[in-house]
Amino acid sequence: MREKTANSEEIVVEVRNLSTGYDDFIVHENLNFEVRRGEIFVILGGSGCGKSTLLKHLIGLNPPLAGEILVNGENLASASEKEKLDIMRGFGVLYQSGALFSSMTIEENVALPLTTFTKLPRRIVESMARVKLSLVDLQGFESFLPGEISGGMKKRAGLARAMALDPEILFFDEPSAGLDPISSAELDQLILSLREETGVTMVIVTHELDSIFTVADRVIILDKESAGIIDQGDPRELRDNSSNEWVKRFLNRDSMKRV
Amino acid sequence: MRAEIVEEAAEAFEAALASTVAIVRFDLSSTVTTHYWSMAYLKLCGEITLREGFNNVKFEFPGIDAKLLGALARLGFSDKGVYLHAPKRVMESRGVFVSTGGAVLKILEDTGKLMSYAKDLVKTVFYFIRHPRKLNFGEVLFYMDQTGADAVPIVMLICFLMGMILSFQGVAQLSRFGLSIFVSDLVGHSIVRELGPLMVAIICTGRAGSAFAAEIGTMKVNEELDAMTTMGLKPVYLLVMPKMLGLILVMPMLTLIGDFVGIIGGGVMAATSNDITLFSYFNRITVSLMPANVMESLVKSVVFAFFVGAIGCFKGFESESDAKGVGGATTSAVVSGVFLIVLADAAVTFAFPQFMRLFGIDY
Repeated sequence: MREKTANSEEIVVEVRNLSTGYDDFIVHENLNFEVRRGEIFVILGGSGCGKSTLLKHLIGLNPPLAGEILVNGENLASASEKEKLDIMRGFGVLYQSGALFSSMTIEENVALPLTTFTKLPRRIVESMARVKLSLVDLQGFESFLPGEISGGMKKRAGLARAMALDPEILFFDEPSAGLDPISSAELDQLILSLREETGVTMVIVTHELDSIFTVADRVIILDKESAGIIDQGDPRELRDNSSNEWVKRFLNRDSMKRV
Repeated sequence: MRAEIVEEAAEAFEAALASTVAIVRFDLSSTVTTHYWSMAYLKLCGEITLREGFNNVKFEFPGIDAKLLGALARLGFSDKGVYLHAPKRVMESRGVFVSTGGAVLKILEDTGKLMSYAKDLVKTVFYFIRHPRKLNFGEVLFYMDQTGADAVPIVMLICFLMGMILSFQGVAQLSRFGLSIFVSDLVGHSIVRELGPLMVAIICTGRAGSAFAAEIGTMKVNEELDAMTTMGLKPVYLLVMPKMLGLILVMPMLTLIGDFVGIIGGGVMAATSNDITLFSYFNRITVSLMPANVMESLVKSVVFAFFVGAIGCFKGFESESDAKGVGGATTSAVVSGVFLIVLADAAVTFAFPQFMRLFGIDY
């Protein structure tokens, strides 16, 4: 197990002058930021500001229009298809819906990366898969199909699969979307305890304030109008001292609640 | 009822509104709650003032409840009493040249996609030749069961009927020349060389091709394809091979069943006519059909299986990421599948006799 090294200065993901978008439609221009080893880094912003688009670029699904994305020092933007697949194996992704393969049981889903990329004997693979499933509190559900479990469980199973190869980085696409507040809070606690236990670096896309203040070490805030980052730093710091009015309002939404 | 009242009132407003009128006053003092019908009326009146010649008309709402001011502003009445409408998105109609050019570009783009898919397919085949252990044979068996075993009843039924129909039509014509016995040749050759493989292929397009497209399309909607890619797996390697291999293994078997049952169907119908007995029908079949005919049947079914499987999966990958997209991909898989089958059928039908001649078989 890796040492917990939060707040170290080592950079694991670096984005330089990145422009994102589709064909001739530009979503962001000239983004620059880095993610350090062991931290929980949150990408946030209002609806439609392209959080998920940025994530798709970071994990190599969409080719950048310009700029560089360095994951563990290797450039995703200029990698050949084969190199890209190798870089991708170094991180795990939890998709919004879990994206479990519906024809396989939960355990087979988690075991798939292991059987594909390692030559471990079957028994070891199975026990490794069960270990990951118990890390996300899903022991006893190994032989269930994805269609038979709840949304929150699907996300946790997806998380177990993302962690199957012990990646150094985990990406989350809106982990709290579609979950009730309690399951959502439980998932946040799970994220925190996984970081404690494994020291894994996490990049999370979300707009749930509760989640942000619970888990985030550092955030960047995207803006639709300027097509770029309008502020970054510790969310608690930004809430009280941001120079940007919109950021302050966004992070202070709690004050609009009726008491 | 109310809709008509609103409409009539708006028409009356339009008639009364002369171009000299500069200010329209609405007394809304008695309206205390938001009333959607009166809002609709105001909105209609506002839209009338947008027309040519009424541009300087202003609205005033004396004595209005303060609660309604916000609602009026959202309807489009500005502080100064002018009605401003938010411009709607206008769909530009494109000229004939632009549309034609766009269509040509689309076709080129699609061809490009198809080519790169074909390249991926060839790569996949070589990948599995080099790493046969990576192939999940359990999954191949699953698709053989799904696309093959489950299709046997419908294949038997359709081919049996096909044989009967051919035989009925054939006897009707041939008996006029006293050649009824040659109905064996007609049914045998039509079914084995043409209709057997064709009918099976069309059934499999409807069953397997559409199922492949829907399955892969749904996986795309569900982000499963993205998940595979970021796990460092290639969806084409993982998803296409078991499906296509299953179909290619199973369709020749279905075709043999179909051929056999079709010939029996022809015999049953022929035996009902006075000229032919069941025995003479089958006797004649063994004389007229040769092994090369069955060979043609099998070659065709393998070629058809390749196209049905390939196009079904391709349409799945190309599906839009929503429910409508998956439906469209399924339809498209069947339509393109049938088209490709007929195209391939023509090619094989013409090429096969030449091919046989290479082996010195007079076909």
